[in-house]
Amino acid sequence: MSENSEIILNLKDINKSYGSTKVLENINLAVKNNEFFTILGSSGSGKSTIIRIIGGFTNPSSGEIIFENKIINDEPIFKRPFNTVFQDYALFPNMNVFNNVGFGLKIKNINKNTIKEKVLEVLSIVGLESLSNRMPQELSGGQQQRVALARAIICEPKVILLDEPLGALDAELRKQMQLFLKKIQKKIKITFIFITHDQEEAIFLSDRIAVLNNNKFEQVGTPKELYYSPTTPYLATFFGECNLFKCEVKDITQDTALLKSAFGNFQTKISNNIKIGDSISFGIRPEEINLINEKIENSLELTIDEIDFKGSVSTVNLISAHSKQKIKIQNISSNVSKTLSPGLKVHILFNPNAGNIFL
Amino acid sequence: MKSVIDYFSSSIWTIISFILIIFLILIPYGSFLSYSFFTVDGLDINHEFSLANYKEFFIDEIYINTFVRTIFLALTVMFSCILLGYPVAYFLARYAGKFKYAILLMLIIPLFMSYIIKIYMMRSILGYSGLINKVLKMLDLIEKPLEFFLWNQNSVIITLVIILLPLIIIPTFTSLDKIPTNIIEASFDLGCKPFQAFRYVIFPIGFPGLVVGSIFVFILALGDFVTPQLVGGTSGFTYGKIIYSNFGMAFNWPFGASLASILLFVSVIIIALTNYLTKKRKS
Repeated sequence: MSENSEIILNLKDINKSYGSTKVLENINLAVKNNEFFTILGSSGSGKSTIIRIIGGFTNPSSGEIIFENKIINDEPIFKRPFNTVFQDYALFPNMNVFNNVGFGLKIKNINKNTIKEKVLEVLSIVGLESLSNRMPQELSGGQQQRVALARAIICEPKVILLDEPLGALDAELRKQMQLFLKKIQKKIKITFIFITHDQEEAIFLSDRIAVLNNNKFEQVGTPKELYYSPTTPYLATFFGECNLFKCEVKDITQDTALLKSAFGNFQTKISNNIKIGDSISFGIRPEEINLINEKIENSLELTIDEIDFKGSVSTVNLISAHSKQKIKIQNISSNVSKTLSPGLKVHILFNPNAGNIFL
Repeated sequence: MKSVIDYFSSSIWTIISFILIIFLILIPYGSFLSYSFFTVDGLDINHEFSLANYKEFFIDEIYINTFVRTIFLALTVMFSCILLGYPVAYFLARYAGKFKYAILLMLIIPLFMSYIIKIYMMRSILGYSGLINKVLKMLDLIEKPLEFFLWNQNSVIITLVIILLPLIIIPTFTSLDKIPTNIIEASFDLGCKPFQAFRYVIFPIGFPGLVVGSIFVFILALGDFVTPQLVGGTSGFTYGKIIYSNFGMAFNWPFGASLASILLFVSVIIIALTNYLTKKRKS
């Protein structure tokens, strides 16, 4: 990505509504060349609509679609240099695998020998050389998926749009196809815009992720940015677990803030523009909290509420005398957890460089 | 124990289904075929094997000529139905939106109506003082009633096309309507212009429905004898009408049976051939 990171596709202030129902609100997006870009959102969040707008299957109510610095809103589907892998593959039932894959070239009137060469080449990339005479109905879900991908790849589009392509596969096959997609995207160097509702899948596959919530993008960033520096409490709990609680800003020094919470006072690094007296939410992931033996500076004293024993590691839930809310700590190794029991008072320390402040 | 009962009951059903097939299908066909090898002797049927009926069919030109003419008539009806019905089915399946099933129902309702009534209705539209001629006269476009569509082959064709049209629209609509939208979208996505999407994707996938409808129309038009009787006059003579008159006025059941056997044989060959070609196209 670093060698070639110019932006090839832009969405500018895209809005879409059906009647009075808003599906998308002010969607802005910049997709870089050759990146694996994922749009992540729960069902009904409008993620498929974004891909349909890019592909030309639906028109936005307002806003611009810009490809290589040209507005393409009015280009018909067949003129856009994108190809789509549909959710349920949409293979042509009247053609065998070979003709399905070669279809895009046949339409462009490319001569038969070239088509044959290319189809065989692409089929070998997706590992289906031996099935070129099969009809789509005779293939398994995973194989149909590969045919759909091959059919898109062969046209050498600038962007491949994948509309929840793994949604219909079982867990095992899904894992295999994730690996396969990731590998193939690096190999053929085409921009992928991928849609999913599965966070783990998004983190595993993507160079960058846009999280769609309530018809808007909450945040766009690399998987690490989204995990370590979420910008909203929704995102903090969306990827993995996060302890989220209310605090008041008591004091601010150069780059640390003293926060007062129901669990006690503690210091953390400053993020966002905060002032003394602000009431904020603080989020910290369970793995960024350490159990320590004795009270030290900045540590909090809490009571163990329950211990979830999970074999080699355990999860411990803590409460304070002043709050019903719990704090969760993960991955306590068994030789530590066996010394703990509910009701015991312990000291914990937040990693001062982790944690996020949400206004 | 249970498996024994299962076996017993299943074998009873097998026997019953065989008996039904034998009595309701094989024996009627057999007696029908055997009649075609008998001859008539005045008012009696001579039950001796003879190929005389089939010989007569091939010797007397009128039968073969009528047969060939009727095949052309049935083909004309079929292709007219395709030309008129396919666009309707296509429009319904692709563009009629939420109204499509309501419109389809309106096309199906005439099928519940008696066939004979529909033919009489066509007579009152096509006749000398029928709707068409009256309107044309009222508009002063003609002085004498037009005749080219009454009491001849044309009127038979027009009537059959109008009566049989729903039979081609329904299966064609069904197969076009079943094509998932995303398959059509996929064809656009891969670079098809609208006509190419039709030519390479929509038409081939909907083709089996069109074939089923066409066979219905062809076979029904081929064997029809009521329409030529009621609107065909003297020149709209069809093969079906000859068969009919042999069982009726001419009282020559054996000859009628042999003419009908030939029709049956040709129909079966046509269906088998279409089936074979459709399958071959697929692979």
